[in-house]
Amino acid sequence: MKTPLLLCILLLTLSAAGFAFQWPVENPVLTATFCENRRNHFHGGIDLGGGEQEVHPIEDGEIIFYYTSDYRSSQLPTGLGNFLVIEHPRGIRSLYAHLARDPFDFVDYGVEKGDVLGIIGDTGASQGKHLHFEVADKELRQLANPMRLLPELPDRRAPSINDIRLVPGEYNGRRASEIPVSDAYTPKSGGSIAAGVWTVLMDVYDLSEYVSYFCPMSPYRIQVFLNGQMARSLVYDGLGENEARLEFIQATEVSFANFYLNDWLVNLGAITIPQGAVMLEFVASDYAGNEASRLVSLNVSGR
Amino acid sequence: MKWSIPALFFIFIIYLLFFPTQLRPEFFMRPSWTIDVSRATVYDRGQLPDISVVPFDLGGLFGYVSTDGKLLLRDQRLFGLAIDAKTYISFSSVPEELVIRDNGGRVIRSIAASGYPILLDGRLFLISTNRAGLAELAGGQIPRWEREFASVITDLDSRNGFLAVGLLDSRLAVIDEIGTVTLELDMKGSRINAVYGCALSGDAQKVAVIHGIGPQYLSVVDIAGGAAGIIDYGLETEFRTTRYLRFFDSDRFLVVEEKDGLKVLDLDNNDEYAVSSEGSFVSAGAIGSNNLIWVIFAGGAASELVIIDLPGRVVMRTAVAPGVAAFSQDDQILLGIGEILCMAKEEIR
Repeated sequence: MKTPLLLCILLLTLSAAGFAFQWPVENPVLTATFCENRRNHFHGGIDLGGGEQEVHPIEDGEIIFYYTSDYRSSQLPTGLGNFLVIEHPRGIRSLYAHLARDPFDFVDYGVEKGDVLGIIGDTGASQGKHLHFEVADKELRQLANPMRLLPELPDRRAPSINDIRLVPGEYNGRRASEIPVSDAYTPKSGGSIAAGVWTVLMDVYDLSEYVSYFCPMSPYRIQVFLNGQMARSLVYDGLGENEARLEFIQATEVSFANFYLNDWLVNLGAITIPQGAVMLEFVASDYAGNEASRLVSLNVSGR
Repeated sequence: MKWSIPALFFIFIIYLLFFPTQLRPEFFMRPSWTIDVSRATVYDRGQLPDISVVPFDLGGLFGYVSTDGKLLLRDQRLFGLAIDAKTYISFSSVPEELVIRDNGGRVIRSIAASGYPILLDGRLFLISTNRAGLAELAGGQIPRWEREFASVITDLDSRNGFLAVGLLDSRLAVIDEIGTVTLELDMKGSRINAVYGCALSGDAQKVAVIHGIGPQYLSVVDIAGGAAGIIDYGLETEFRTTRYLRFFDSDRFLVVEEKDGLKVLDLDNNDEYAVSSEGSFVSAGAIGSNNLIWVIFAGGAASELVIIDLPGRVVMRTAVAPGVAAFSQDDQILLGIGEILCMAKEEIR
């Protein structure tokens, strides 16, 4: 509980102080958000398209690591392509990946906001030119959601809740692939279910406003209310290490392995549904505060 | 007096006859054979079951060749390649599946890709494309173990069943065969704390770590001794990318990449030796069971192959074509230049 609190304090402090982080590109075309499904891991940052733009540091700092895909045998294969990491004050480190080839030609390693780090490219595991951008807190050993630190982007489109399913039983901490989706019940108003523990699955995404093609992204917050009381809440603020896995810092035990059932169907965890008339509300929010919700009234019978 | 000069000369001759000055043996590499990989006949591996093979990777073409010069496999690499003497995996930049093949090109098995493969010390690891996750594959589809980090992995080394992991957030972790972290150290003490290289000794009892900026240190950790067993060496130059570091010759010597060559630390005698080059370090390996290592440097005036008798005596230094790659097998070294492979054997006279 301590580390989520610390990250929240950090985020609030940085926000309140009006910390002048700037977008790493002049024209931020957001195409992927934090914690999306990357097949075997959470997306640890955001993606920015917009063509071959210059990439700038989000704040003054010092380059502490760089990688270029040259022929040296000691380097590890990396899907990040050409990338570099900058250390800023207060223990914040920012990472800029998939930069165009041979981007690094520094006289010294101190950088200022106006400096050009490179050009958006498609080196590494990339299916188009984009900047993959991450922020880490080295003291807390957490990945922070960059969207919470960068200036807000205008966005008028609410997330899309595509499907909600309830699976009998508790599947917290289990591999998502073990959840029997075939047993799932799709709640509809007026429907009946048995009282007890149900695992909530939600198919949800937020469509990017910045590109003309279909570009789904993760929302920022998902909540489940049971008779007006919050029963589950998942906020995409950061990822921290627990044992051998990265987990949501505000919802420990939610790791990649037990969260994603497919691209956008996520396991929100178990809730206990009591007998009687029950109102369930499912809410998804994006970074600009746009909300989508579904309200379902159920008749819940005894077990 | 008139006999003294001839007498002294006579004594000197007698001295030379009985106590001759020992000349250092002259070392050279004698080429055994050369083949053009793009044109050479590919032999059927099945008909040569007991042959000794060496893997090669020429950037585009890769494969296996026997130590007597028969080309056994030739293939074109995709985005990346993991290869050792027994198996190889050529993979795309966004792989859907990884096909593991033996050195004859036969499919051993396919696995769903959850990262890029790395073959280290006969073990197959997967590093996630974001370079922050690791898994080890044994026989099946399910990894033997998996681990995620909230940090970029900067270097890996595997020896004797253990894996050393260097992290940009300044941690060094040593992981055993079942995925348990047996040692985790936070390498602090510099203005900026981060790990830039790591190496395990052959018996995995020692781990060497390059870490920090301002200053950059090389620390050698006696794993059994934990934090108390750390010896620090200050490094004069600082790297901000992965820096080559490996143990050689029964773990007595540590070879460290430098900006103008390399440094050899003699851990037994606490000495250090420098080998200079105008080029940048590319790769290194041991030759035979002697104290010999080969090193390729590229850039500068020309690329060069340097053979060092550890700890610090350069026994051969020769210009090589840019982009040369080298692979060693026992007392032989395989050089690849363009699409030409040349096997050379160490000889001393």
